[in-house]
Amino acid sequence: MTNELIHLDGIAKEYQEGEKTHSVLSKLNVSIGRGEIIVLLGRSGSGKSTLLNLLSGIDLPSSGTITIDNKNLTALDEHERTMFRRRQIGFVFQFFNLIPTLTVRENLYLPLELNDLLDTENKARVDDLLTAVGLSDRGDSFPDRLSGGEQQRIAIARALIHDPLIVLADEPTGNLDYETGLQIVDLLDKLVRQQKKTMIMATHSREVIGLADRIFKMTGGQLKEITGEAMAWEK
Amino acid sequence: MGKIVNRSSIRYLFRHPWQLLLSVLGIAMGVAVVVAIDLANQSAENAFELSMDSVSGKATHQIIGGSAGLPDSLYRHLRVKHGYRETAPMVEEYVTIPQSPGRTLILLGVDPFAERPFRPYLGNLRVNGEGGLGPLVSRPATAVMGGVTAREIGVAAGDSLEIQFGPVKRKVLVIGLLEGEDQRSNEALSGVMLTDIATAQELFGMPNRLSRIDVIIPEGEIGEQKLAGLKKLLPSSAEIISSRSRSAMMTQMTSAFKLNLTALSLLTLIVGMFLIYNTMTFSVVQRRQLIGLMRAIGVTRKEIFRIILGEALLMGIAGTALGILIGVLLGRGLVELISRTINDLYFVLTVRSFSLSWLSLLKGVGLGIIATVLAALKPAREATGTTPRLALSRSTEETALRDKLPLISALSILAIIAGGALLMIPGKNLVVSYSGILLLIIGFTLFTPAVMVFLSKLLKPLASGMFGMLGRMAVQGISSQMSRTTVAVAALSMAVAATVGVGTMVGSFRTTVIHWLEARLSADIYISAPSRMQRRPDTTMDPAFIERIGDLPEIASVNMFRSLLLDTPDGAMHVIGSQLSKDIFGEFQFKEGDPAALWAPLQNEMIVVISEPYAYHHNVKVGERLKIPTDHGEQTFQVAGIYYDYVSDIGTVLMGLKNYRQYWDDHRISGASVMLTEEVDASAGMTAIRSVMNPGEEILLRSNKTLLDTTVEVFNQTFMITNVLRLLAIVVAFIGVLSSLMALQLERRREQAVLRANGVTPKEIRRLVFLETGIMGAFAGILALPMGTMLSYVLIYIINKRSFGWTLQFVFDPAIYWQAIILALLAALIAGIYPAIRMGNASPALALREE
Repeated sequence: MTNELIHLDGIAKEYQEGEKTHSVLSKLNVSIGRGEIIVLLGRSGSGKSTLLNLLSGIDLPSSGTITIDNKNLTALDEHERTMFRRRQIGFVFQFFNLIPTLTVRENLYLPLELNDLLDTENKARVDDLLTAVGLSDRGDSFPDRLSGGEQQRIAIARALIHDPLIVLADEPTGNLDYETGLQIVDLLDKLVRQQKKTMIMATHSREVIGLADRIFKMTGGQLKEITGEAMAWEK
Repeated sequence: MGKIVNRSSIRYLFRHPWQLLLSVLGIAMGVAVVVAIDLANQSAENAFELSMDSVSGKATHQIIGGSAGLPDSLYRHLRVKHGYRETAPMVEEYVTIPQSPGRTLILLGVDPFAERPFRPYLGNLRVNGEGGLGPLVSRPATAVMGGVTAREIGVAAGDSLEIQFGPVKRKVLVIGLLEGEDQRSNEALSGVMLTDIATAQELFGMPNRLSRIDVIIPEGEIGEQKLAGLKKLLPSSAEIISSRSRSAMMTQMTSAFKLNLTALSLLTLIVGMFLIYNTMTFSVVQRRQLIGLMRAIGVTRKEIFRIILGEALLMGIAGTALGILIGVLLGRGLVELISRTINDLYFVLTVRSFSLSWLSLLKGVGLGIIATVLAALKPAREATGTTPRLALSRSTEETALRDKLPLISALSILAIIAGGALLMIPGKNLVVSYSGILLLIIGFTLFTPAVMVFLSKLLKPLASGMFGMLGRMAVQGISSQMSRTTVAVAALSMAVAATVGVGTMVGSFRTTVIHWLEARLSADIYISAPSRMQRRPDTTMDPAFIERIGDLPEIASVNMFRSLLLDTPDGAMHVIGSQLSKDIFGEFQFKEGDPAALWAPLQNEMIVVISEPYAYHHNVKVGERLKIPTDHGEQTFQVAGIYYDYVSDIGTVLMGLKNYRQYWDDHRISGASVMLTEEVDASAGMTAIRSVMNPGEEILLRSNKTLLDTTVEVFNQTFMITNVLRLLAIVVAFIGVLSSLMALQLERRREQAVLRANGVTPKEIRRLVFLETGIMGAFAGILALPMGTMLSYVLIYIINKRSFGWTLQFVFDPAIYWQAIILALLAALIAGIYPAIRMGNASPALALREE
């Protein structure tokens, strides 16, 4: 693949439960290009979140290598992986997970500050992004004053503010009603494409499939790409 | 670390104000007690130094004699004949002021013309508007005194003031006031009264005698030559000692007492550390999700560690600042208790001021902050271990703790063995002993999770039977949240164990002393002059008076003794020359030696018996020889026995009065006791004794019952400070339990909201909370009993022995054990009141929504 950003080579992940070994992922081989939007489908417990954890460096595979932007993530130590995540990954979670002790604006400042990017120019970008997500008037509110949909919009802004390589979204609409879910999907689609980011989104909601460039289905620890008619049918 | 992350951390603290307040208060109390004890100890030491300064002045050395002091001709001989110009004679004794009970002054009889180089404060003297001490010489029975004291008791220059020395009362004319240049010198002078030598000699019944001669010897070779020359001129009954060694001896007398107080104060700090550990653990546990999120965003482990430690440091700083404030206030109260104990047991403190020592405050700052950071290290490390996942289940963490139980229990056993081994190391080092105790305490507290698991299993069917589902839930709630409940239970059990340990030690001490006194106080009436110290008479009576008592028909026999505190190169030696009947001496309980066999030789031969503390401190055994400085030079006595004695921890050397009088030119009597003839009762006996008293003299007559009661009262006073400290440790533990319970209950808000949503009433929620807290209190009480028993054994048989040299009987008092369990239960239940009310009143909808 030309312009490849992510390459998974023989990735397997197993957990030990007492004396039993439980295999979650087995021998995954995938390449993802820059700017692609990938949707991971699969039932609960199928390994979608595990794969996102591996891609973000939160967890390490039992075997295989993960290469992102020509960097072998599996060869990095814990601190290096954290620094990689800090700089290159933006996360959107199912339960929004904004920092409750920071205001909306401060939540967006946080990734900038961690990356030593909190300057006047970027502070202005925060205000622009707040406007883009339609919450320019809520910058000084604390997250618990916002509705679920509003919180998720802030979470999307937070995931993009520090200009990461990849956005990882784990069930971003899972905790929202249908209407709000659609709005969030639209917003994600718009902002990610606008900023030409690569996004991998784990979901079991059919409504988000429409924005995917490629769809993968996770079953029995295997990743199967859905192409052609099947993809159209899924969409 | 960036501003935004720090802001988040600080906001977290302030969003949990109760937890923050209780933690800060816990640290504050721990620091306060340590600072207060240190300040009080320092103040007492400072007061002692001030007293010494005012008395010794610039003297580098002192020539001292035996019991009767020195002849004043020696002074003239040294100064006039041998040209030792930098010498000053001194007659020195403590006097009381009847119009101001409880106030003791040191009366110095001085030669005003020799004084100037020694006591520069005399330069600032105002004597009826004129400077100088001349009028003291020209007018008999005149005195000058500290201006501060004079104003406090309403005396002005020109007033007459009654003073008392032992039984003797005299009036002196205050002709001037001593005013210092600054507050410190004013404090030093507040305990001083000056008279001319002759006035003092007359007052103290010391004609032509001096208490000592102060000397200034320059440093260097010339000084050494001077000193050597001076030594050659002294008679055998006199010796020259450095002023510093005298003050060092006094300081050493109180060192064990002060160290024990410090150790007890540190216990409060350790309980406070538990509290900090608890709070920080809670704050990490409660934020596990948040920390996980931060880690997912890219915050490193090191940064998380710094955040948690930074929070602890902030709390530490706030707690320490508050603790120092409380400590200063508390110290003001404690200095009175400590000074009183030092006065009762060791020596007279004429200055009783509270001084703020920067070193004590710095120690408080250091301890408070270091203790906080140490206590927060483990939670901070745990926080760094938080995986950047977003929903780590609680059960994972609890399972981890349960998996570690065998390891924790093994560590517990190791700590107990190590602590025991440290305590077994022979020697007198109290720091090693207290380190051993600390390890034992750590060992016992590490047992807490294992014991809680065991007790929960035992209790579950019982609680279920008694309280149904709520009972089962309460027990399960405790055992399923061990990572939180254990620390609270451990902290409470530790404080309650301290109560059991110290309570049993004090009780054993009291019982031992009472048994000993009951056996020892077999005479009918005890006679003494009013003494400024409770445990050792430091005043004397006229021997003629005792002789007159012996001649009374009501009296069957008279026993008497002379008590003398000697400065020796090995430290203080308390010598008693006694003339006791065979029956009375037979009541002495001997550790080694037979009183019946020793009675006769003690009167005639060169033997002494020594008290147990003396034998312990100086490592002297029966059969060994003891060199004692007397008025006729150093004499050697053989140690013939060791007897139990709980009067003085300095220890006593007892010899026959005949021997004493042979080697000391001193016929005065410190105390006496009489046996009455059969038909005479105590009251008639006292009336008869009063009839032969010198007019105007004050003599104390006490029946054995009264003396026993007085002694026990003094004993209780001595332990008052111990009880205050014990109480403070409990207060800190209580704050700890309250803090833990609040955090625990707040953390379970959702669980309780679910219960409420399912139809559990607020009353039932409250009952559940009380049941849980009550069970935790009971667990703490049960755990405290073995720990407390162990503590009491160590305090009685090791710490007490190594500090004071006393053998005590271990007295088991079931009341202390019951009280401990009730205390733990009550503390936990009271601590549960607020969380119970809050949880019961919480809206389930709100709690569910907040999640």
